[in-house]
Amino acid sequence: MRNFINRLAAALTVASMLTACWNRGALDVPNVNNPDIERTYSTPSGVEAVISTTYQQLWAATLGCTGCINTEAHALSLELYSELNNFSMNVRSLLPRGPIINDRTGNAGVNGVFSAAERAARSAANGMQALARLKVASTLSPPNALGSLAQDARARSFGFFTTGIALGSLAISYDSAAIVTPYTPSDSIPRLSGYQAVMTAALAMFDSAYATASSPDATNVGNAQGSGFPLPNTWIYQNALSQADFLKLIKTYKARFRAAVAHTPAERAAVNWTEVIADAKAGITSDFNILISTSQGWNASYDVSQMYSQGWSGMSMLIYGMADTSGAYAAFIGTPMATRDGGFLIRTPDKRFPQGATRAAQQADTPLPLPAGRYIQNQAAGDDSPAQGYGFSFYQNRRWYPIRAGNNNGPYTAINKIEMDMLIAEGYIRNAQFAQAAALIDASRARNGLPSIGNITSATQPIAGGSACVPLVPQPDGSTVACGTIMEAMKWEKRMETAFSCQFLCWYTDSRGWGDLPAGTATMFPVPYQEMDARLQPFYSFGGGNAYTAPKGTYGY
Amino acid sequence: MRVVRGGRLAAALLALASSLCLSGAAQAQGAVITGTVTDDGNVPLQGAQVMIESMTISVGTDALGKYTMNIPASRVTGQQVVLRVRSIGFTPQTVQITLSAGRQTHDFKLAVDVNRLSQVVITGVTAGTEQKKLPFTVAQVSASDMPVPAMNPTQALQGKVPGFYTATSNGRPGADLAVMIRTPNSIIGSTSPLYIVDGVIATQGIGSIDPLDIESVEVIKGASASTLYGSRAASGVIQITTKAGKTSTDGVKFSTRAEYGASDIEGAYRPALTNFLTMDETRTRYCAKTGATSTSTAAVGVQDCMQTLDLYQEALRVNEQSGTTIISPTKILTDGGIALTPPKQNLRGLFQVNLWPVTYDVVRQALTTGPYLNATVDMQGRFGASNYFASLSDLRQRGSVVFVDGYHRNNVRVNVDNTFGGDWTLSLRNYYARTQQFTGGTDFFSLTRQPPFVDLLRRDKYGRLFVRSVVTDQGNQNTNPAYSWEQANSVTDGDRYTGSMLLRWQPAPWMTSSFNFGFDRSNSGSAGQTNIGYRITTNSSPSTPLGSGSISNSSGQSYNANWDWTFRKDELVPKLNSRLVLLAVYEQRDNNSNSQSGAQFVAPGLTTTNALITNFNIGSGSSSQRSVGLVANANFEYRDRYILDVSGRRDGLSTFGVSHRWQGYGKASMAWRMSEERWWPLARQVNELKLRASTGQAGNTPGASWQYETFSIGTGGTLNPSTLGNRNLAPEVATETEIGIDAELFHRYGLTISRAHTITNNIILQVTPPAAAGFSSQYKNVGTLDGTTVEVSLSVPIIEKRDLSWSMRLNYDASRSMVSKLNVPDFFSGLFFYSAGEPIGRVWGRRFTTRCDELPYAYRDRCGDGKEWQRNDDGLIVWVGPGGRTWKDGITTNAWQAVLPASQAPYGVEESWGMPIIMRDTTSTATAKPVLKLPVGGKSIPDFRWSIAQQGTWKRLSFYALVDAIRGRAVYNQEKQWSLGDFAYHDVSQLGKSVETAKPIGYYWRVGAPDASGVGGWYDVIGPNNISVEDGSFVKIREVSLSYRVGRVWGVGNWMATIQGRNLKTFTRYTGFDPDISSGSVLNANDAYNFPPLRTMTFTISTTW
Repeated sequence: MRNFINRLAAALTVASMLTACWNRGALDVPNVNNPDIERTYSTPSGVEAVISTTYQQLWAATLGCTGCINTEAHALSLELYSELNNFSMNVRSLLPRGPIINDRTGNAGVNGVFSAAERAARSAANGMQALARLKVASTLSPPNALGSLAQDARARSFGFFTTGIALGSLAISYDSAAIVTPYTPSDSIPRLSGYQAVMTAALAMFDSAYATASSPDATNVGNAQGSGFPLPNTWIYQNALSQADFLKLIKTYKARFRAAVAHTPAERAAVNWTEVIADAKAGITSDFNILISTSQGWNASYDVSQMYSQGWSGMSMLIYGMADTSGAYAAFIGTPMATRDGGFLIRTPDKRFPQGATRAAQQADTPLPLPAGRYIQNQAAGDDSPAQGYGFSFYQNRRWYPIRAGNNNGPYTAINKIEMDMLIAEGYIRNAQFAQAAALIDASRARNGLPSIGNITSATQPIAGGSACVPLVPQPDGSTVACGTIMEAMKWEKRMETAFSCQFLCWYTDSRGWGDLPAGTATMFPVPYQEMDARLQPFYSFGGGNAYTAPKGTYGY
Repeated sequence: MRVVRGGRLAAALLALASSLCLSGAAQAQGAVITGTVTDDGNVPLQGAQVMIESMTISVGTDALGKYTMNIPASRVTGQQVVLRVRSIGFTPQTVQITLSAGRQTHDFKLAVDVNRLSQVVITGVTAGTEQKKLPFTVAQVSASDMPVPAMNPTQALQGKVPGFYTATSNGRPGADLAVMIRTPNSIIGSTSPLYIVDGVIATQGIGSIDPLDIESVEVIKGASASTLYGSRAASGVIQITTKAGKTSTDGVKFSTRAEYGASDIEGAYRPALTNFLTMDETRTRYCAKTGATSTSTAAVGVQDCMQTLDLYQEALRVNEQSGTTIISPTKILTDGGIALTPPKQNLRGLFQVNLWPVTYDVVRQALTTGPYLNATVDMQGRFGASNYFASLSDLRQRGSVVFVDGYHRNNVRVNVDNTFGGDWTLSLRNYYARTQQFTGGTDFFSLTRQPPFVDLLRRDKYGRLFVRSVVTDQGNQNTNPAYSWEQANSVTDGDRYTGSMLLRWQPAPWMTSSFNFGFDRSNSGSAGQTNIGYRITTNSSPSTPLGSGSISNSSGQSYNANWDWTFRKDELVPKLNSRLVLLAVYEQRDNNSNSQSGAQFVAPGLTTTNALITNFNIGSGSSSQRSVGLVANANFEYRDRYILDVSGRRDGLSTFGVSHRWQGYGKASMAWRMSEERWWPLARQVNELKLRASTGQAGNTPGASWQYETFSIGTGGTLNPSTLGNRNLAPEVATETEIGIDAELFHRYGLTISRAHTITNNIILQVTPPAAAGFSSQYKNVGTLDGTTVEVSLSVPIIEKRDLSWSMRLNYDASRSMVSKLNVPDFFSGLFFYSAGEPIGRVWGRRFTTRCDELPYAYRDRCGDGKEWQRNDDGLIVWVGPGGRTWKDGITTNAWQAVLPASQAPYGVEESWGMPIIMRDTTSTATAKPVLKLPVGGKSIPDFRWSIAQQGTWKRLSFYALVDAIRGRAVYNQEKQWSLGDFAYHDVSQLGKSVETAKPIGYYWRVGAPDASGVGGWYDVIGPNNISVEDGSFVKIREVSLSYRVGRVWGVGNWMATIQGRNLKTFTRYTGFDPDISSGSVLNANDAYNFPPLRTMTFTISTTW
């Protein structure tokens, strides 16, 4: 027994010694298939690569996806009527409006832009933090991690810029979001903040982007270490923006977001329009285009690929009918909503619409690709959707048909110069500077065959044209029409130019600020239930009688 | 690739040579013990094992039951040793002898051990232990229990082990079965057990292991017995021991076996032999549709039939084009299906009653009877202190799909045991297999959606099969699957080497040390090409006729090494025997893969991707896992009746989070052999009764990459945060408590009852972190599963006579499992809903209303006989309107086109007359309530299962039959559901129905707005519902064999002729091919175009000499 115990003890000792020899690090197996954050940010080029793709991520989240809220917002704002419920289009199109059901039985599509924008902000913020570390780590030689002060400034300003777009996109879309900035610790998950606070942070990001991009470091293009501006043309695809153009783009987004964050007419009225005017004037001086290239990951999936059928994106006559000067629209509005039939011809001087007195003539006037200046086609009768009633129309917006015909490749206008002009005009109108506003509006109208709105001296004065004016606007009683005001003329130009041509939510954010959304429409999107699930917080729905439901709108429905 | 294969072959041959050299070098001389072993009827027992365990010496008996044991003189010291004899199916005997130089004789007469209580178990224990002393359950299946050879080992275990669940996820020859033992211990991880073959952890699976090499299989069912195996054993352990000639006598015995037969598919598919297309008055030609689309609101009434066509001729016209592309067929009036959106007028007004003018059994055209051939030769025997087994085998199973070769396997095995130097034993195991699997023929998706007017094997004047077999407008399913089976080359070649070396040293009777090294390596290469000229349709992939190609290779290898020390002490205190085992384990697994593909070959007849010029796609990956384990086990046995077994294991794994590198597991098991007590009053009635209880832990290791933080690499090299790493990721830990009894009644009937309760903590899920984290997912330990299984086995010897024996074994099991805790919000995944308290495997989906009280509250009073909502002959509640109409009056009162407006309808959704009503969320504030997901038809874990195996002999005739059954398992028949979408399934046909019971096509199509474009029907888009989820209960004749021992023929051999069958007949109400089906895992009871299980019938001739 004693021998047995002694031998056992000896064996256990040997086993213990063997165990002690074990190299604990032997179990640390690296993942050689995927980069992690340390490896991604371990080189200057890696950091720059992350920052450089954040705009593309945001583009994909806002316009490059069909299931994102851009598609739903089109329907909510009457930019389209769809009988198909893909991406909740039909349910958002229906009147009276129902809620945005934000639970597991409802629509999951609202998660796309939220998560993508939050993640893009996090990517940019982490990138800038890494950039700061790299710079410190390389104080000896070379003096700057990315090769030059200009290159460093370029990356940092672009990071601030895309963080601003990410936060701004969240602020105009949702009731709250997490504010991620370069000063947020990389392992921290901030709480949700209200949309105004989020927009304040976004505007601060734009200011930082502007300050960095216009700093002496950024202008030090000629130093020996290498490049700053122009931006590499992959960062914003095929836009090798000069320093000046990049600064204009920052101002443009700032102007757009500052106005769009208003979730109610009262908030819209309270916008600092002086700032908006100043930023918009310092913004783009021509259309800002993105070259759509699916092979390079730059899509405009819904607006380009899928809008070309009545079933997907019929044009709601409730809005587009305002172009009609024949009386058909007036009759349409004069009919109760339940029995309205959108199957009428729009005869209008607005050259963005097909011209002709008959459907056949209009069809002949709008072959594909559309003639210059036409945006809208009178479709072949065989393409008419079975949808009837107020959702039906003969028309389809085919402005971007060349991209579709080119297998989803070609230039697409993300921000129209007219959009900036009309922001300025709206600021002028709200400041009672009608003549300055009219000049901008008339310039756009003239390009599209519309007569001058005339000498406008008050916000309530009808524009010129009498009963044949454009736009002919439904009145609050919901059954009559009247010639629009200068504000309506501005709204018409902005709508026509940004229809299916905006990154993003232009119609929706404008309509809620103008008070034009149909009754019951949600005035903002709830934080998606997936995000609330992840935060272990209850989720909630908006619209359809829940919180943030729009009252009856300007147009009486 | 060939160089690599050659290397594996060379390695195998080298191992063979070294094995034989060692065996030859180990001859010894000395004392001789001889004798004869017979049964209690004096029939000699061949293959009985006679051994002196303390000296690790073992020999077998010959055909006359004789044995001779030679012991080296150096080991003969006059000591006392125990001579033990055992033979499978008999109670072992021991005798204590004095070992001295010279010859001595000991004869044995063994009693039948019907219930195998004396059979030794080696799995889950640290030393061989008899079943009657085992404190937990280890199921044993020996070669004699597997008289019907299977394609692979898991197939051989089907129906034989209670708690062992299998399902066919792919019935193609050579495919593995999905396996789950007892209840699931993971949600996103694998439920497959840990496979061990001759001490080698078989990380590459056991699909290529030749079942004919197997001597026995032991199955550990859960953590109460699998603690010794640590972090990959929570789902059980299957240990396979291959033959090694241990029971052979000196010399060599050869066996040859040739099996020939055929395979086919038993089940049938029921297509609709009718259509609803608009025909002319001859009922042979179809009305063409002018215009861009086939569907038309003007269809009912046939206003657009200016041109007619013969579909059979139209198919010829479309396909018989000289080039590689075909032309588009003429549109047919009122066409409709998944690819089209039939107008609601048609959905409510068309009845599918037109017979196709010419019909073919399309599925049977595609399925054929394929040959099965399995030829083996093996040798086993003993030379002095060495015993060995070697085998060669060639298996070919053609399968049952036209134009597609099936599976081909060549394998060779060499196993050698050698004792040398008195104290040392060396065991070598070597197995090499080459496999070739043709991977086409799985396209049951398009096969089951070919309408019966299609002649699938029809050829044009150029001798080509039609590429577009369907000329109606049905999208992807227009393509003829047989064309790709014939023309596309798709094959996977594999080779596999697995081997082990066990070196055991026993310097003293009380101590043994052994070192085991196992190696498992497999290479797999897949290739698929379509040549230039491969014909296409508008829905084909690739989209050009210039061919495409892909090549992928993967390799995996694993090593495992164990070093154990065993200390035994008999009579530690009087009548207390003890054993202590210390074990250190190291494992490493490495996997590599690469793939490349492209399109457009530069010239015909090429197969390399170098010859492709566009659409290149490349990829590769590699991973490595390492683990170490330290194990201690103590076993105590007091008075031969009180047994205590205690184990602990501490594992370190590279797949655990870096802050949680080590995990401990423990086990304690007890058994009380109550019948051994002197006071036991039922010695005659219950001659053996053991109560046992065991509780133990084991783990499921996280996936190889789950702990890591990863960025995905997008187009152009963009880096996007993907998976947020988890430094604290821990294994899923199952704690199982098993209690049971093992009994033998009246020295005849064996009874085993077990109840196992498993709680699995730290369940891992891939959860979504808040978006501001930057990453889209993270693997976290977030939940607990709770499972219970009851198992009963009953062994009944019915007749035991010298020339006649007949025995029966019955197995029963029932399992329940649920999520008991979930630290993340409830979620849906696949067929299931995960929530605390929710049963695992319960199928959720959309539910058509079947009872009045399922309608919204305000409508319930208006539902019932004679009311506005009634229950029709399918048991579904439908709207029939006021006025005394019944659901039978749709045609006679022209009611089918009637519509109840949304404002008046339940849930605020427009309702069509007579159509099914889908249940919606009445609590929603939406105008049109969203569709609910509800339990729709049972669980994929069955209510219970049973099997009966019968085995017997009569003179030279022997028979075996295995019948197994599942009761109460839900199966989602997605195959049928999608066919309804194309109006191609039998149910949509109204032929033979009366005007009262006939339903229009919309009744079988999609639900209505706002969810889809239909008017209420069964197809219901994608996802299970209470029509498509069926009762998958079945009774199956799983295995049958009948053998006749011919004996010597012309003085040579011992010949035997056998006929045998597998999967012969299934009795079920399930309407798919076979309810014994799943997709990927046993739980995922989704019949989604899976290749059905094969039925095989073969004839075997075999002999030994």
